[in-house]
Amino acid sequence: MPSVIEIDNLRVMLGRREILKGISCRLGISGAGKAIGLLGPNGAGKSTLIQTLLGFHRPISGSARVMGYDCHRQVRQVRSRIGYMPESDSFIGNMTAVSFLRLMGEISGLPREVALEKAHETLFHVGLGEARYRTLGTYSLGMKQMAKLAQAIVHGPELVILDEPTNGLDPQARQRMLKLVREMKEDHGMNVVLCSHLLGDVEQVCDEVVIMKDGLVVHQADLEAERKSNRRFVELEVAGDDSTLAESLAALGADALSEGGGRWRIVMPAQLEISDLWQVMAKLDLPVRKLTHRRDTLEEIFLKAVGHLQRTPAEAKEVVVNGSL
Amino acid sequence: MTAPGAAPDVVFEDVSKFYGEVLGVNKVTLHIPAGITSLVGPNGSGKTTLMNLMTGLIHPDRGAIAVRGLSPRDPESLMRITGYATQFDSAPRWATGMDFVATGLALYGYNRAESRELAWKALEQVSLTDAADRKVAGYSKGMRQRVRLAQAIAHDPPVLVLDEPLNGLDPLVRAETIDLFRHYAAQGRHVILSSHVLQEVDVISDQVILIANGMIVAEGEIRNVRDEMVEHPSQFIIRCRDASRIASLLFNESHVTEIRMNDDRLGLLVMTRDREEFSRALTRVAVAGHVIDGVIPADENVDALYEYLIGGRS
Amino acid sequence: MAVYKRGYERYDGPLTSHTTRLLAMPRFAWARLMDQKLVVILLALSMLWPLLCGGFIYLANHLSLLQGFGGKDLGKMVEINGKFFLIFMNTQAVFSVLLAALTGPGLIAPDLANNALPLYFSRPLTRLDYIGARMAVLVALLSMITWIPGSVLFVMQSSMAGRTWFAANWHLGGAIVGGFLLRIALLSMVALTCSAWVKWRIVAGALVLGFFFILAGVSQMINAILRVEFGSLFNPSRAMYIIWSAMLGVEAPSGPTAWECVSVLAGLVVVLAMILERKLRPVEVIS
Repeated sequence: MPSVIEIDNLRVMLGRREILKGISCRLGISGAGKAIGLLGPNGAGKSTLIQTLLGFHRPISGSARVMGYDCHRQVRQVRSRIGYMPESDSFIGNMTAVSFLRLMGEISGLPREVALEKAHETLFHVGLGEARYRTLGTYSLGMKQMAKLAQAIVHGPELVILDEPTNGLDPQARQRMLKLVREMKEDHGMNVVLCSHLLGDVEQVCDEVVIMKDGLVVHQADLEAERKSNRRFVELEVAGDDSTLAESLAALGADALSEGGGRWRIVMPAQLEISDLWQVMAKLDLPVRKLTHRRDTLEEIFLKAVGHLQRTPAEAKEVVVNGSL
Repeated sequence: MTAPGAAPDVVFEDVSKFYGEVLGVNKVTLHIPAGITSLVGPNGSGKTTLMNLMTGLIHPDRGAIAVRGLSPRDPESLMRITGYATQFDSAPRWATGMDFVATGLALYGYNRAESRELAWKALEQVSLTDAADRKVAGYSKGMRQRVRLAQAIAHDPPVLVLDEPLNGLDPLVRAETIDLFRHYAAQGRHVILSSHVLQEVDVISDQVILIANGMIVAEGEIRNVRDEMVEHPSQFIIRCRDASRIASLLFNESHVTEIRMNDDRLGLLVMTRDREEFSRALTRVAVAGHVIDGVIPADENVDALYEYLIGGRS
Repeated sequence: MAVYKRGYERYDGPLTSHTTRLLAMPRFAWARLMDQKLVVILLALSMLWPLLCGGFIYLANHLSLLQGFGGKDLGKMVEINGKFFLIFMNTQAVFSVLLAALTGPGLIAPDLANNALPLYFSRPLTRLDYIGARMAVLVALLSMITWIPGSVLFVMQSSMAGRTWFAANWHLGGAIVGGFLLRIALLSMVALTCSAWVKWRIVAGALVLGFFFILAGVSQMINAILRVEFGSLFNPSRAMYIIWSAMLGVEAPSGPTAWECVSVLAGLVVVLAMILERKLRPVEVIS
């Protein structure tokens, strides 16, 4: 199935510096609403990549195609299918939200009457219904972010690029924003590229991630697959006296690492089942406060990809982590 | 309260601050011990006002403030022991990173050589040494955040007040900065920061302060705050295979108040009044042969607290 | 009974053509301009002189009405020729500067003030499209007070004065339109560039006014101090005047020739276009 974004050996220079040094990857699946996380340390080239997809920069070599159209030579076709929510503050202060969205919608190709309808529809959808006749200059930060999102989706694009959408939002607004992003991909079938430093947000919303460093793609992971794969790695938290737990677990052939405070990391051998663990807890009369199968969280995948970790915890019993949360 | 011999608290005593008609904070009483304290609340709830009050930039209309025994009305002494990193981005256009931090230090009375040395050390702490000679105006957002942090820590203050210090930082730098905070907390300093990312607040804070509409909604260690909220039963998420059977077994327990089944019929959300009894009940169910894949306490985190205490208000 | 679930739906229908999309911007800008009382008032004032000139033309062609006031001698004084239209154009030129200063800044400055350019350029819009759309508003507005009334006056005169007059003076029509178009082009570029340069609308407006009036003063100074004539080249208004004189067949004042003026003004427009191009980048590239 054709990908939404196809990048082949893309090299981009800004001024005298080479920012993107030859990236190749395939992102998303055409027709299916998926969310792709774009991650990387500052300076990795994420913004430059996004700007190249939008046709703001000309590649020196290689190509980038969005939905089959070349990002540099067929800019118009690409831009008419994309919605973009920039990271920095972007609005027109002396227009009302409705006028603003109408203008943006019409420039994107919506007929006049449709643009008016969609302006109202979208503003209600993002939660700005009550404030839609007020000028954007009077909006709070959270409202401006929502207005930015609204202009990105008002024309119903197939691909939406969101650059740090939850920046500066308080927890409730953040949850609202993430919920909207999930709805965009699940209910409306849009493809979303989410660029964010908050791995928690990406984990909540994205199906695949692309991790960049120093102008190259260093890792591409399918979070769906990661979540489904079954590793024998368990996190356990018990109350009470757990001093004898290590021995009992060792007797079963499991490797257990104590983190203190009743928290344990256990790697289970193939023949051991969860029910056996419960038997041990029952025998030792240890109430279980928490028990999870831990997949490599996105944070560890990220740290490994950018070179801070040798192996992720699921791949190793002893974990040496540099500055983890 | 603080133990004898430990660093004195940052204390607010019935403090109110209004800007004309506009509300800053309303009757705030706080005792903040040393360690990492997170201020959490919606935008406009009074976090920045609290920080400005703590650092002596503004004075309360009513009430008294004491930062480690010093009053903000004695700014010379107070500002020596506090370092403030605001959320606003305004370095002078001509300043390089080094200039920015060193000039601030000069204001504390250090001579030129000392200023540059201390500034360099601070810039090392935030990993900005290679960009130290570039103009701050050319920095990326994350770098500007870090240089503000550098100028706050440069004079080694025992009280650090940081407004959204992790905003815009990539995950690596976040982790390093959090390590720095932990290091400071271990040294017995006050690290008071505000954040919107509740997951992080959960993991790094020793205590939290929830504020909404200018008033303190909760303060203390997260678990203790949760324990105090008895009107909300504890929530647990159970991953299992035989959900309906397990649900009926759990309903027999007297402490269970509510059970919801997940759409995929492989999970339950159980609310109970007694956490320990519930854990024991679960163990009994598991040993009796029902497969329980996972147990997760759903609401012992700041997210849940936020939802309960602040959620409905705005 | 039925329960309807209606909320945001992704638009899947046909999209408008490129021209229609581009026209959206001028339409919005025009609506906003016409909302401003000051603009409407200035527009009305700008029509006074054309009206007066129209009356003048009427009188000139119906000298019988002036029998009581001096007859044929008066007839020579009110001759409608190139000089007449030159005076007309000069007056309207002043109004056009005022109008451009009033309306120009509001066109680009609001977009730059809050970094809205990425929102425009992430849509199927090139920089040329954007500038063109903005210029279209100014051109339309300025045309309303320049060559449109000018052409109307010319047609009036031609129809009243008869074929002989027309045969002798037909080139005036082209000169009026062409001359004004040149002026409009220059003014639009100046106004747009000032708007893109400075974020505050009032300052941008002052800059537009200053461009013409201060340069006029500077050129006078150059001429007086260095005792030369080419200082007039630095005065865009004067340069225009010289060009118009040449086009209308009126004897030019001493100083630079029309072609010199044309080249200087062309160079000016090119410089302004370059500045505008730099200012309208969707992304700042810091090397």
